[in-house]
Amino acid sequence: MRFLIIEDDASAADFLKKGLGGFGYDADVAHDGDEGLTMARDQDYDLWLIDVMLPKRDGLSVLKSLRDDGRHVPALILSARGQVDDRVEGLRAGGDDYVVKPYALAELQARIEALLRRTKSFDTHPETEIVVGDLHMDLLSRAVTRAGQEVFLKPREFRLLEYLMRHADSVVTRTMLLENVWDYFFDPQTNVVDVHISRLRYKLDKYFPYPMLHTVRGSGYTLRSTRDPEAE
Amino acid sequence: MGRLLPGAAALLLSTPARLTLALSALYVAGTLLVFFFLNFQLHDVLTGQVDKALIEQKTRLLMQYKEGSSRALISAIRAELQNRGQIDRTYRVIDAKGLKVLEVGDLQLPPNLPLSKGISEIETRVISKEGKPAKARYLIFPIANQLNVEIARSMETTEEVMAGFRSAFMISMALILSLGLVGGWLLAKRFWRQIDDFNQMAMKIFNSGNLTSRMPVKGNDEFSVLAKNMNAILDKMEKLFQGVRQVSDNIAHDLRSPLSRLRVDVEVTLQENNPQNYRMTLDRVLTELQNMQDIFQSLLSLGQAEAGSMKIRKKPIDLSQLLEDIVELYGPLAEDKGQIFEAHIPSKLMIDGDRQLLAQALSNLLDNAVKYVPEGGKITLTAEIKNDKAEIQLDDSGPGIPQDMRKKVFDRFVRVDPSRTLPGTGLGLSLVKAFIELHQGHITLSESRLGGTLFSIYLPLK
Repeated sequence: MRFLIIEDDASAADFLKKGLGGFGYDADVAHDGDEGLTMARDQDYDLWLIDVMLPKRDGLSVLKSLRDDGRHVPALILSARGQVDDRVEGLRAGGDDYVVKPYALAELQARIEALLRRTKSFDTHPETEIVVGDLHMDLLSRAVTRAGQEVFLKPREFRLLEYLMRHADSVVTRTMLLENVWDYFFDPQTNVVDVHISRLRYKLDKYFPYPMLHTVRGSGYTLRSTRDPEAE
Repeated sequence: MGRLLPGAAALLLSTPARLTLALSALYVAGTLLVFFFLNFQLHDVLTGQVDKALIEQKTRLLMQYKEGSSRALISAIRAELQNRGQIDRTYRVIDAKGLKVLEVGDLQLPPNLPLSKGISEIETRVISKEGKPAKARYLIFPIANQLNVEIARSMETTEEVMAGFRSAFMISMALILSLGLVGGWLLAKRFWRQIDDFNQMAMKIFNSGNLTSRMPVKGNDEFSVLAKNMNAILDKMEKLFQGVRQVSDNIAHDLRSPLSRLRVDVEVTLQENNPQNYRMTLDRVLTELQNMQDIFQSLLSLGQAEAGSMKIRKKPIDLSQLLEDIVELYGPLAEDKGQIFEAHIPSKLMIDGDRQLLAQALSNLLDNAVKYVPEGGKITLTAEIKNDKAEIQLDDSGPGIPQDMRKKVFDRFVRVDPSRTLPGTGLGLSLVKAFIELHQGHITLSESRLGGTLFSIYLPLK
């Protein structure tokens, strides 16, 4: 996996490169918009991380040009501007996700994994069923079973589980859940999401031999498709 | 920064002065046109009268001649001159041989009057006035192929009437013109003074950066409206700048403290030089950074919301649904803390608003409620239509806010809990207020029915 970081702050780019290295990703760095555009056109990357405010050519215009070329590499926008409008603008320019600086590395990692996974299942047929381990979700009848036993969920719990199942075996953060399950782009002071997770976990894991839904300390949650004796 | 030229030069260049001059010029041009027309008409009428008299005389003389002879004609002429005592005319009779038979009257005619069929005009001299030149109208007609009679009448009276008319017209025009110019000048001066007031004020504010000055508001004309509007802009600007100043004060206060804690923590850890402590210190640093990040984000949102620079995406939204969603988000949390959370929300309360901002405001309030209400306590969320507004009430049986704090809780960095044992930035309620006001709504704090805190939010319905 090789990423392209387009970021003018050299030390920020360096830290980011190191951080990504810790997760097992290699990255090249471009220091301005023009350089970023050239590098993204010349080489094949698995992901672009693009800062918005760049010298020579701003990040959104770089991204727009690349999309106009017909390139579908997933793009994560890193921006110091955090208003909802800025986010909308970023996504409209062709960004697949939008992270506001300063961000936690764990948050970035989770979002990168979600993006890479999304592109992997890019051209599959419209699903009617999601399966993770012995957990089945029927998207049409909206029924969930674990090991053949029906699990009864409220509508929001269903959406929460659906999101977790689509990102099974990778970490999803509280912010990702708030954005994608509740459609809220702010962080409540209290950990409201934790409570919803623990309710879902009760229904999902309580009567079964091993838990699937795990909390990842300092990051978020993960739904594991296989039994993880260490986490029990 | 532009400034008007001083004194008369500025006055002359001012808009009303220029308007006055232009209007005056237009007036003069129009009046002159009228003058020439009237002059021509009057001259025509007066000349017509003289000509009519000449033709009447010709008729009379012809009749006299028919009744008598050339003798009778001559005595008739003499009689006419004497009877009427009119000396503004001359009669001349010439026989077939070209000899002058008679010439009487006050006008000295040239020896040979140019022949003409009708009435013509000629320069003559008035004998009784020492040969003063005068225009005259004359008529020549033959009688019985023997005599040529010439009658001339002076145009002096006509000329006098015309002169009188001309001077009367000119004097009145000059009077009106000067009145207009003086009036225009005074108007220009008044206008200029008021504009100059505005300019002086603008320069004063520009030079000193002091936004407390205001335009004087006099009377009820368009200038006073302009002054009022400019004052309103200054009010708004002053408020914004105060806000900015307060924000920077707050930032200094609430970001410096954690910064200095961070610094000391890091320096002490480095001094101790015990690698075993590094990890613990870094963990503390990270927590502190997160806290600062929260404060920073809140301050930024608050500043943007209050300064009006926040891009608010207002759309028709179902407030009932928004409230249900928030209740659904917080319900399990309250339940886990052993609190009773009740909501009464009517369906389809439609408003124009930004879902994110309103949800964030309500989430801030609910964060507080859940945080402070003890186990077994109660939280209620109700909504209804009151006086064409959506009224949202959030009541709880928590410790409440002491009377003397109630006015201050919406201010920045005010925390009711003096020990600050629970986490919080002290900006939550300021943000709530700012977000509600972005929706032309308002929030109040009043006597709780449950013994704790009662927030009432009013939002305009769609």
